[in-house]
Amino acid sequence: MTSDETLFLEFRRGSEAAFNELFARYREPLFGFFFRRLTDRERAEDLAQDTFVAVMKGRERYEPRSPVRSYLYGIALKIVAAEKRKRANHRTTELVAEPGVASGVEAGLAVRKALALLEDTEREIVMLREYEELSYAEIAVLLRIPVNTVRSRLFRARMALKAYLEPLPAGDETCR
Amino acid sequence: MQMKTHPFSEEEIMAYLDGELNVAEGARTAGHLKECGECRQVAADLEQVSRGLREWKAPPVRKEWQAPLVEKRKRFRWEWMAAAAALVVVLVGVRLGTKHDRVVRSVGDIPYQAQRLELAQPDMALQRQAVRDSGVVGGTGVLPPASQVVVPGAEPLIARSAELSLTAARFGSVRADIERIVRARGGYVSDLSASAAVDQAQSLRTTLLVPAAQLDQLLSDLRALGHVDSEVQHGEDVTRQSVDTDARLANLRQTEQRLTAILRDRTGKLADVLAVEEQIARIRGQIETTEAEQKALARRVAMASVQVTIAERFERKMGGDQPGISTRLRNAAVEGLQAVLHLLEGIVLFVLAYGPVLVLLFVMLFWPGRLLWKKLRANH
Repeated sequence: MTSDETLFLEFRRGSEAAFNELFARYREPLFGFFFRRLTDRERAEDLAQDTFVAVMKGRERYEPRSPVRSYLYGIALKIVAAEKRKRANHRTTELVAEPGVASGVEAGLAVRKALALLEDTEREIVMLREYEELSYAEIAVLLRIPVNTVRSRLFRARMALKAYLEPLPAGDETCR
Repeated sequence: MQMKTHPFSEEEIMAYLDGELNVAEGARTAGHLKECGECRQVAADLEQVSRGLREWKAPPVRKEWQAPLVEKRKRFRWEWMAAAAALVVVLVGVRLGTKHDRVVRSVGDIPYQAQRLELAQPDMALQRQAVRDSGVVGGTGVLPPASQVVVPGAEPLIARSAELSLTAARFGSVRADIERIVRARGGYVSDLSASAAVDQAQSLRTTLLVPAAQLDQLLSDLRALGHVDSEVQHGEDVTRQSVDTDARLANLRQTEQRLTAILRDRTGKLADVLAVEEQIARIRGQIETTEAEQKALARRVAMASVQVTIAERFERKMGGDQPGISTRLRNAAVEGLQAVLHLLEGIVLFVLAYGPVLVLLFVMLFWPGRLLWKKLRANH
């Protein structure tokens, strides 16, 4: 399979097929990214589109050395931050949130509530790791913090989430 | 409960589960997890959290979601077409200017871009041809063959350089050896300096320029001349600079053509004609400067520079050139006398330079100091 980076370089040279392939690969993940952060389906779709438009406009800014997914999520993070600022300024009441797919309605609500209890950066680190599946190094670059900080805060956040989510069944040999 | 020490922290277990440890650390952690129930429990807890989080799934994207994006992308295609049209205009202009009769192909066609780049960078094209002629094709060379012509964003242009420091046992033949090696690799000696102080090791510093494709071979040949004390290699990515220069040059040429057309086709006042001519002269100057930059950049990519410092393996000789004892005694006496004179000279200069200030400070501080001294003595 052609790598994302190769596709991006082809797209930059004018290949529409390469763009279509990138679009197909990242359409769902980017929509999921916005949906989980804004819990507003319509807006998540709009912003995911805006991300692709921003990619088109700023395609020359992409550095071939960095992974495409980091580049895309970097743009998406900026867009979501702007959206949150806009919401805060306009004091919009949050729309009735859609929890996710029907099969996991309750689980979705519980996870959202648990994540909401985390501090902002810790929540972002957990989400980038669990949902976007970025490496510690990629998260560190995106959030401009050291890799060790990513690791320690991710651990702290996961331990907090363990307490917030359903209690886990007790292990047979635990004494730590 | 028995306290137990663990070779891994809980964070490291988490990093292992996230695939963030290297192979060796991962294998050690996996081995420990098999044996340690406590750590297994930590891993199970972390996995449980991850499973719990991933139960929150985003709904699938709606099929009609693509529609507005396609609408936006239409605009994007128009932008591309506008850019393509602009490029064709520039290309036609450049080709008319250089009287080359070539067929204009569509944008996105790599050979077209290759021609464009070669047109804009004739020096680089010549270098590429030279490398092809010399039989060095592809490989680790910086200059790619014509089929892999450097297209902005695809193949980076790297300006390579290296610094090599050697100690040679047979210093006498080093200079000839270097000249032979660099000639064999198609390069030349850019500068060379040698020093040979009495009773000290001789050394030679030289800068060599070779086709970039030959750099590795040249370094390998040079290493054989002696013991390598240090070696540093650099690679500077100049792709963006090259693309910028290319674009700037195209724009300048287009502007020059437009001004020339104005001068040719329109009549006006003498002052206007002079103003246009002045503009053309200024643009021409900029074109020449940019062309020089472009050639220099191409040369940096085509030719790698190697700075070599070679020192002789120095062995002090017994006796031989040592002067006699009377000469050395005389020299020592002269040096001693000179040292005394230098010291006296220094003292005089110091007194002249700082004496007045010191006297002033003494006068200012004498009475307060004396008063303080008397009070301290009275207290005791």
